[in-house]
Amino acid sequence: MYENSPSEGGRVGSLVLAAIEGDRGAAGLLVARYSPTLWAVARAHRLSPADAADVVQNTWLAFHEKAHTIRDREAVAGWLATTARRESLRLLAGRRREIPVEELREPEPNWDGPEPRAVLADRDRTLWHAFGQLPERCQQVLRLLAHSPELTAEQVGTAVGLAPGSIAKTRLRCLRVLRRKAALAGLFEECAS
Amino acid sequence: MTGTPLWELLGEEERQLLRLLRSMLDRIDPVPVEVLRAATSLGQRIADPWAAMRLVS
Repeated sequence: MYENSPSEGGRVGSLVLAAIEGDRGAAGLLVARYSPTLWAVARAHRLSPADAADVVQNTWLAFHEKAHTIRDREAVAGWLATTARRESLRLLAGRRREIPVEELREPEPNWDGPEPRAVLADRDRTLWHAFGQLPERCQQVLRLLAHSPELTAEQVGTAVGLAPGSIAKTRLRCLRVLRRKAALAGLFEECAS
Repeated sequence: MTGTPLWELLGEEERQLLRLLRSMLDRIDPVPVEVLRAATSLGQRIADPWAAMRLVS
């Protein structure tokens, strides 16, 4: 995914257009590609899994209703992230059901891949703990960047409610703090290999 | 500068850290399969105008 950023070869705009015209396959590809971003936005607002699921659903519903009004279809990731933020804030205002980061689901022992599960589990726990210590704003920015690195500072700023001009500094500071916390926990040397 | 994808402004160490973060989040806090299924199904129902009318009603 990262290698194809930012525009993924111009395919995103074509997918959006196809989805608007009723192409179910295109709509399905967009859902698969961007739902993790929407989930990340909702979870970064500390919504429960049930509320985050509502945010994802409501955001896709809004997309299907308003996709034809999106001016820059290549920038649909920003539109979706911003819509998910609005949905998250609307839910929070209505329900006030916030949960602390510590209550988010713990790693489960079902990792696939070449690395031993125990190594991955340890790494995930360490990084998760370091990530959980970051300020909420940092978590929001980094979750968005991790899932949709093609976003611009303006799009990230709109999605998290920060001035675009401060996003670059925020991103740098947050990554440095995360790296330092992870290194203090003995993670990063291991991961750098 | 604000129109540049943030990914292009990152150094290799930052990119590596974000990759680790992404893979960790995908394992620890993924989008539930049922949420993806429901979102996909929603798109298919919307694409069917008769189903969309039923949704509204």
